[in-house]
Amino acid sequence: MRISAIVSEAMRNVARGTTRAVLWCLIVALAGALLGGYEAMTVIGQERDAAARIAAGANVTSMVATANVIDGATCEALAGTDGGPDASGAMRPGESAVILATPRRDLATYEVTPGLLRILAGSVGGGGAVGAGGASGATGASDSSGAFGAVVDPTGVWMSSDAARDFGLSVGSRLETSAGTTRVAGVFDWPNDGRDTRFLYALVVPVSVDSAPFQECWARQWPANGKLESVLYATVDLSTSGSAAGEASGGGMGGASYGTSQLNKSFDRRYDAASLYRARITRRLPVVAGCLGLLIGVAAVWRRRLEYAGALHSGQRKGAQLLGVGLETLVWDGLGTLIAVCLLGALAVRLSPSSPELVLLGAVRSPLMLFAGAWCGAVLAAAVIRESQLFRLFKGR
Amino acid sequence: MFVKDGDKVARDADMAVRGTDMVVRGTDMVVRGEGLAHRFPGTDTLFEGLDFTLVPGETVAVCGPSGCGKSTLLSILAGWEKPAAGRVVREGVERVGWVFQNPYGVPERSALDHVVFPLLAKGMRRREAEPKALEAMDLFDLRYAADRPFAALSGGEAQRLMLARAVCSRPDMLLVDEPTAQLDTRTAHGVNRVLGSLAGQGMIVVVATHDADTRDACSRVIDLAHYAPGAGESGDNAPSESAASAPVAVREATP
Repeated sequence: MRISAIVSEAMRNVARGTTRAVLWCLIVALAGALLGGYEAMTVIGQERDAAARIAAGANVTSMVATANVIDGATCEALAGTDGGPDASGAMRPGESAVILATPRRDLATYEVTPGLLRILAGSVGGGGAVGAGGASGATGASDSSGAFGAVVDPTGVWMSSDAARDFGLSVGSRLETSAGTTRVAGVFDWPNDGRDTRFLYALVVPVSVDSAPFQECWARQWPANGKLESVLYATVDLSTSGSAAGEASGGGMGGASYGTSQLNKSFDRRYDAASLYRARITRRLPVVAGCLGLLIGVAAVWRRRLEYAGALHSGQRKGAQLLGVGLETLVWDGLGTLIAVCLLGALAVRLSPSSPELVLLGAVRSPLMLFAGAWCGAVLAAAVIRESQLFRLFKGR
Repeated sequence: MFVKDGDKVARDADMAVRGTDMVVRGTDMVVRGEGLAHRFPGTDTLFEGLDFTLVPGETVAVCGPSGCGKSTLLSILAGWEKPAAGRVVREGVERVGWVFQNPYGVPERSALDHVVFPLLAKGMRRREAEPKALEAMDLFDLRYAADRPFAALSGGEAQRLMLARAVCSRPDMLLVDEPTAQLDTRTAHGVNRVLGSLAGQGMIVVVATHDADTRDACSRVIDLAHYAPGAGESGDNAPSESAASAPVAVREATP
């Protein structure tokens, strides 16, 4: 049988409805979209969980001591090291300040290194930080890759947006306090979402890293590599406090105790995004899709076994028949898969908070396996059809 | 390509004899039954002592009462069943085609497509195959239905389509099993009318039937009633090939 004849017969079968191409195409599209969609939504859900953690500051781990035993320079230097956090900075409590405009209200003060200002600027619940020194602040929750975010201005004090609003202040405002006059260099969002509330109503005063030791070292890292906590211990310099005493969660002896903590304790500390992804329930869906495709392909061909057996009886060779079946299957299987992939693409673009292309790459595995399974199932089913089945059918009658 | 047998069925005795001796068109094909007998395990013998020679150029009817083994004989000719006794010798027969009493086809495809298909399977181009397919459909008075989908054909039209398709498929031996069994009298008549067109197509054609009109549409008859056990108890010679190929006048004398 000529190739042109095989192709024309296949196309006639598709066009005349013998193949039921529309029906099988819809089945493949639906199955592929559902399976791929389940995978996509699972991954998007994990992405959203991660984004929520980042937005709430759960990606910030801190080394907290009961005395000023944290070396500021060491803490700042952690950022940018290979495998280290993408931002780090130190802080210590300062003297309370009274704002002269509201003498009955005093504000807590915290002295921080510039690295911690970057954390404040980037660790945002959806908003951002605005600093007078440059572009607007971090890109907020989506800045999970470790970018340093805004150019922070250390020449003045920083305060939360809630505090700034209450005091009628904004970036550039003059602030007269009991400790002197200064200006507001930056305003950052600090939502009440379970994070450490100390900065919610406080003045954040930038200081040099080489000044006196600090009490805490904050480090922001995403994704976590499991080594941050041990790295933070390197910032503890017990020689600055004489003797040190440890707590059960940290270390030290004698006076100062220290240990790691989280900025937002309302999230599970033991969070491993990579492990969660690898253990997701949908990881085996491509195998399921392949098996389902196999069944679809077999069903599409088996329902026409009398026709195929009759074709063999009319003199068609098996190879020609398999080629025809392959071509017909390619039409509905390919089209159905294309529809499923397009739907998944739209889903990923619409719902993925950060990387729709990666979501799509993972989600299309199911429809692609379905495609392969259906095509193989169809050809295999056709391969086992024999002319003798025609006879058995009529003999049975 | 197709020889139209305008003489249709051979009803005249002389024609029957001539049919047996018809030109084989230079083919070596022959099927011989030698002392054939058959029974199914646990049942009575269906027939015995059956001898015959089948050559291209004639339509041979295998007839007899219901259950006498007509379809079984076709299965034996095709090689599906082994006879309980005797043997079938096939010379030059490589492909066996069948036309069953239930016509089958692809509902959405046209009648012409069904007849074109065997020609495409042989390697023809569609533009060469379609005219030849229409010629075959002419033989069976089906050209008017060429563009109709198979699902729109009547039972008789579908059966004639199967015959036209079989002619284009060109097996060495064509076995037609009860072609009118599922049809009413009127449509059966339409099939019987064109059955003779199978003759002269270069195939050995055997038609199993209990329909008298179908039998009469063929050029030769093998009546299995003559080969039932005890059929020779009257003292007559056991039925032989000569009886099977006897002129119609002799056939008409037997029930």
